[in-house]
Amino acid sequence: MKTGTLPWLVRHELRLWWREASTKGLSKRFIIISGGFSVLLLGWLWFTLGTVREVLPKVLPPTVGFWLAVAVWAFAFLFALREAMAQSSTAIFDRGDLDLLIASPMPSKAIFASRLLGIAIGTFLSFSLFVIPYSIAVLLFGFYALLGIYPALISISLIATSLGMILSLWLTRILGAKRARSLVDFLSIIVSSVFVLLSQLPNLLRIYQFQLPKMLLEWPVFSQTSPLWLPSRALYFDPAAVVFSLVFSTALLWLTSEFLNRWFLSSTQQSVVEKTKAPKTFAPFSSNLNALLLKKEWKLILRNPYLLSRTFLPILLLIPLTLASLGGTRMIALVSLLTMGTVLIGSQFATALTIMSVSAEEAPDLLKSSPISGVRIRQFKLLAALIPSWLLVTPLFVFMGFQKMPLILPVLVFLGATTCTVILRLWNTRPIPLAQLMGRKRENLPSADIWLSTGEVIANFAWLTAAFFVPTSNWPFGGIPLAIIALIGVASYFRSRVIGTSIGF
Amino acid sequence: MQAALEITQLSKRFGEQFAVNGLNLCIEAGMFYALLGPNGAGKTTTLRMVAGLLQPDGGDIQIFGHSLAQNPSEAKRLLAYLPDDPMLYSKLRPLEYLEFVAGLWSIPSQQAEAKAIELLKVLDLWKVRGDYIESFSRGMKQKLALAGGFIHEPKLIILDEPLTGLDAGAARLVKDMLSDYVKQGNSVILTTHIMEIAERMASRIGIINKGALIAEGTLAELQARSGNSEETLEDLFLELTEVES
Repeated sequence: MKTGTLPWLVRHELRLWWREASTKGLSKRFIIISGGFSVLLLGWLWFTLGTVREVLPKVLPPTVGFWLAVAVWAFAFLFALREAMAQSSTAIFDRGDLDLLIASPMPSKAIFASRLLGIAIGTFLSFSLFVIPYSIAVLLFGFYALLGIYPALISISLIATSLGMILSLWLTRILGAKRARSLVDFLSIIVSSVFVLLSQLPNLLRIYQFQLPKMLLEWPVFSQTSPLWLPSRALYFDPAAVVFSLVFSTALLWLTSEFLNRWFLSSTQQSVVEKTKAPKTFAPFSSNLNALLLKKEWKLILRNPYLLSRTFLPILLLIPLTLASLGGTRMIALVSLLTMGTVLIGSQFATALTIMSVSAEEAPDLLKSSPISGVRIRQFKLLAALIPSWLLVTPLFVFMGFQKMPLILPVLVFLGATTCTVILRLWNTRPIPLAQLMGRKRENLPSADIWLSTGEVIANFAWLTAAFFVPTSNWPFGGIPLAIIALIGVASYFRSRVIGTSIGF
Repeated sequence: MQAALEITQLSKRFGEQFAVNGLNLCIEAGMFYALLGPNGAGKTTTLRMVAGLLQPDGGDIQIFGHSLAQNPSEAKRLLAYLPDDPMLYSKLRPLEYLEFVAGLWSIPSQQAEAKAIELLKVLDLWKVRGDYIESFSRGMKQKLALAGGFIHEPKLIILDEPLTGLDAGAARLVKDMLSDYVKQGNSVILTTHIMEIAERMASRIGIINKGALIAEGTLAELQARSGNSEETLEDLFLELTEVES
């Protein structure tokens, strides 16, 4: 391969990606997770596909199959756009080997194109966890037309990459690097949120008996034959749709690399480091160490964009939960539903805050070399993660109180779940550089600890199960998950004595 | 005179490899002590054990008579440790960082605030007091870490390669601050690869290799030991460490 060309550079990027992935144990983890996923998905498909095969398309599908394809395309596109926006932001703002490449005699077009292709390949590969088992099922059942998901996903990845990069570069030009980065991160969260809310749409439509598809179908532009839905027809190998999708997406990527490479180069030269104006006055120093410990954690959390992404999602999850609670569900089921919701939201938020306050502690040596006991520091780090999680969910409990729902058991389950989540992290965490929370090497996050991740997943499921049964005093079914949680807690404690943590056992 | 730091039979192993092997060291209060050694000699491991960051496998560490193992809180209260990679929070402002450090050492707030402002002005960081630390250059970060070390007025400051990344002016400022600090009766232990710094500033020099102290004394004592009073510290250092290797 000729050196200094685009294919050579793409090969170099892929080699770096693979080295990093394979040396960090990602491939092994990937195989384990995707294997487990495949088995689960195949089992699920085995039972469900048999019942829906009559409605699946031959050439032009009947209503259900058609809307299913549109929904799959829309979800895949949102997922890809979120992924591409995050990766574009990283490609522009994380220096990495960019200075070396820019300083070399390689043409800027080739550098930019290699970055675009890297993002597109990464986005496409992020689908593989779902697509591999899907393909196996498709082959098993003989629905070969559904292999159209491959050209569809290739075109989705290329379009999302182009749009993600165009948006990031445009925002950098008009807002500057620092604000653009924050906004791109924020927009990718919005896209994730739309993704979450859309997944709740069928439930909400059912609750409010809203006939959205029929209304849409009455407009010609939304009819099944409309060109608007052409890209989604690629999913079942409609030849015209496949050709159009691939040609359009490739052309869009080529145009982006051809005309925006100078924007890319100028954007990469901007600093994303925040320069702030000196405040006119400073708050007087405080001697209250407990307050200082909490204040320091919360300041660092609030000033980091990672928090935004982790706060916004749980708050948005509250919306469908609240709507569901107003939708006339039976009281007893509603208590279980709301308890499960509080456990899910609270645990997710508490985990994010614990990652910030414990795993991403930037100066563990400063804390360890100080005369303050490690126990006290850990206690306040726990509180720094727990108090905001409790405050976030309090309005739901107030709502439950006003509705005269039972409160004691739900609150106890919620407190148990959030505290357990935080303690599991504290006992098993490893230090990570703060920059990695938003950077390219996200596989190095503490969640990459397979034992911790597995323990957390099992504990979360157990708490959700307990949240479903315990508020209704169904002790036989509620007791089993609590016993499982206790076992995980004991195992985690003893593991922590072996591996130690970044803030000192 | 009381010993600022007394290390007895200190050892630390990583796997089969001894990083520190039966090290004995006594540094008197009010002394500027330079700990020298080639890469991998065990300097940083020793200092990290003294700061309470690493648990020794054997031996004892006393700081002003307080055992680090038995009374860590009192021992650490008298000590500041500044590693070569500054221990800072990127999203805090300098005064917020110093307030936090002062809080960890339980310094009264008014005293800490006055000292923090003074240190920022002396170290030429006052004009950037409103910026997040992440925007600082390496030299500025080093200076802020130094301010964090000085804010609780420790009796013993341990610095691991403190001049890395500093420009000539800042390096001179730091050296003057350290010299003044020793003149006030405090103690400084410093590791460096720049022999001239040890030669000019240190009242006593220790050379460590393969986890053990192989020579110690004033520059004159070390020269006398080699039998050549004209020899530079660099020559002495290379001779001693090469012989050991």
